[in-house]
Amino acid sequence: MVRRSSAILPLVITLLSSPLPAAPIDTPGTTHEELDGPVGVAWTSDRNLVTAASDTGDLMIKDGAQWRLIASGLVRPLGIDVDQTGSVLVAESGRHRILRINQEGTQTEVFDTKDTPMGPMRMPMDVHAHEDLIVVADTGNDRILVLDQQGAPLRVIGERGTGPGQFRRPSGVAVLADGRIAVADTDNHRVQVFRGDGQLLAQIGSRGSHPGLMAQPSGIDATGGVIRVADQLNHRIQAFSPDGKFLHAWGMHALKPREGDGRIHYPAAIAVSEDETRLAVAEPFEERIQVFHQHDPGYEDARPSGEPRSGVQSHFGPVVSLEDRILVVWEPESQVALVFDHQRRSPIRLTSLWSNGDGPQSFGNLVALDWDAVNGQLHMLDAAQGQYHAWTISLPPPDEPRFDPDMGRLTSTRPLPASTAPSRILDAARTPDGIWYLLDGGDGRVHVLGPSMELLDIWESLDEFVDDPLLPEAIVHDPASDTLLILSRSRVFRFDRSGSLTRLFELNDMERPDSIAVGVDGSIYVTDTGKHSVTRFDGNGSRIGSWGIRGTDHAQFWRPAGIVVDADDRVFVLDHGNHRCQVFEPDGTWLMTFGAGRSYSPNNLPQGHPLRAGSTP
Amino acid sequence: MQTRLIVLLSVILLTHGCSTPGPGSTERARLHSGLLSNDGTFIVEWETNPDPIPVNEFFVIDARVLDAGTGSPAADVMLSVDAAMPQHRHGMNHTPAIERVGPGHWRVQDMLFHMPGDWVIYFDISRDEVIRRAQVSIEVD
Repeated sequence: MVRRSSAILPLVITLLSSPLPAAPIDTPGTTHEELDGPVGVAWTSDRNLVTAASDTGDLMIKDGAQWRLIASGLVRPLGIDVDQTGSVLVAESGRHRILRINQEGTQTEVFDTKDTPMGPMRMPMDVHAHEDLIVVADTGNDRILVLDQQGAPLRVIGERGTGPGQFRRPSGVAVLADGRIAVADTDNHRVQVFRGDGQLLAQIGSRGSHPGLMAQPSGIDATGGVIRVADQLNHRIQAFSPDGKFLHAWGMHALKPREGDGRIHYPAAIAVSEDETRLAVAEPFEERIQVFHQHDPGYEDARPSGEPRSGVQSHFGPVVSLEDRILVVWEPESQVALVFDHQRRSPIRLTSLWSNGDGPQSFGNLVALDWDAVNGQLHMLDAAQGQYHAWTISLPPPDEPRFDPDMGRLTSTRPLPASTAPSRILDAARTPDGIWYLLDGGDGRVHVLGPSMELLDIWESLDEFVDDPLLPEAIVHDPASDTLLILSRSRVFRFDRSGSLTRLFELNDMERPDSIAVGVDGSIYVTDTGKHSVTRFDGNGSRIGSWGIRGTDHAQFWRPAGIVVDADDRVFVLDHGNHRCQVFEPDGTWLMTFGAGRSYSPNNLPQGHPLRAGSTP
Repeated sequence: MQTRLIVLLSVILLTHGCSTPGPGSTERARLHSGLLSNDGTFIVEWETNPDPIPVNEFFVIDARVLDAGTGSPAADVMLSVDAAMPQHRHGMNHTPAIERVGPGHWRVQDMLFHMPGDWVIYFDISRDEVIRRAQVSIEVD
């Protein structure tokens, strides 16, 4: 007995002195809906929520039952934090700076580092205050900045790369109580933990979906010594110890918008309250913040009480290309490019180009696709990998469509030139002669590359032409006029191929323009993710009409993204939030909805559906 | 007696059960010539040992990379070799080891097709930071 006690006693002492594993904060509580693209979320010390709406540029605090506006007019505010004084630090990505705003709305400080040895920030996505430090995720520069509380630069951590201590598009940062810095290293699909002086301590995770693995982690929180990560493309929250031990994961992918009960859809940011009783998840896609409470084993997951899960459930992302009979869509979650023959009653998937291994077929974040029907080649631009891929696709005859997983063959992979900053490339257009135009969201410049990715030219920044901050979003080639159109906020810039601005016009009544396409007659189509709609303009920017409301039914959208027009002037819209593609006439008449495995047209809608063929409008 | 049996089993395992067939294997390999890279820049000549490729057994690929234009060995390239089952959307569950044994000449050990079916072998050839691919489809049963 004595011997046994002596053996157990140290173990008991060890167990008692070890911190207990953190319980999940995973029981659904309050949901705050109707927020305009909330990317930033934080708690005040008295447990009020603060959020930044990236669509509208509003900064708001939840005072009692109401949201109170603290500040407005911010340009793409993303990550936020509340400092010891109660002021809010905001990563104002669109102006490449950090703001400090008190809860009465007075902007007290601006930090931009552009006149310091650090050089300017580019598209910062997150900020965290810790004692006398401010830590910034300088996302567009692939680094972490450590500033003092007056904004003076202290040190830089990391650079672009995949090695230990390097980053690819770091978009979240948190500081533990002891000063360790945890970074969501988004396009490396991992979390890295550093000592305050920048020495790397741990790397956590790699690409994957099993517990402990990640897919584009975004927001991060380290309250209470637990690192919690918004695992964006896995639609879940994961928790780790600072030395990398997996603790728990929770969340379930919302297959359709507005599924509640803990289902999560592209979580962008998380914040745990100081008392560790609440965890807020910002889901810009769902336009909501869900607040979770400490784990309640008695909680019963009430399945969605609305319509059953049905319809088209693919994972179409925002990137698309179309020419002739072929449409190619990128699925970020599954890392697959799907190739469809769309000139049929129901589009047929001909092949899938999937990510495989660590070699050239390892896809990251595809920001542009271009299907060249003349040469049977698919061109891909991968911002995460900093690479360009060319594929040859041997299509079957139009009257003999068949699926063949081996139809596409990778012909070459090339690195992007060193002059480009891949993490800042938001979109790209390719002209029929093989010239690429890459849109840099960090400085508004266009990098012109030849077919072998050789740098041909860099256009001057768009901000040479306007006074207020730019938010370049998309670029498209207009083949009829052989010009490039660049969408930036509610403006369209039209450039000739040499980079001379030929037109600049405003698009009225837009909230958050996202993507742009040109129709056969020169009409310009723009998706508005803020208004869940598509608007058609003439070639001079005069509004012709718009269609779409928020929803999940046919002809409705949930944050529509990519848009293309075929030779018959049919408009294909990637309905990103609903994970599907919808096809319309130029006037907005709905023609079809399809995904990877199912399609709907007016002929096969249920009886009584208002869009069914023969129904009276 | 027991010791002698263990020694005998060890010898059998070392000669037949190791991960890679030995270089002295008498099984005759078939040279596959004229595999053109997908963009036409290179030719890959390759053979496996054993041949045909067995299911769930390690095998070796001997590969020579030639410039398609001149037919001479591409001495200035790097080669990596991988394989996958596109219909199943998975690759090998074992990482092969590749070794350069001469100008444009490579030996890939510990290839493993762990299940029967349609496999594709990828030869990724790097020169001046540009990667070009040659590939071949193989049915393994």
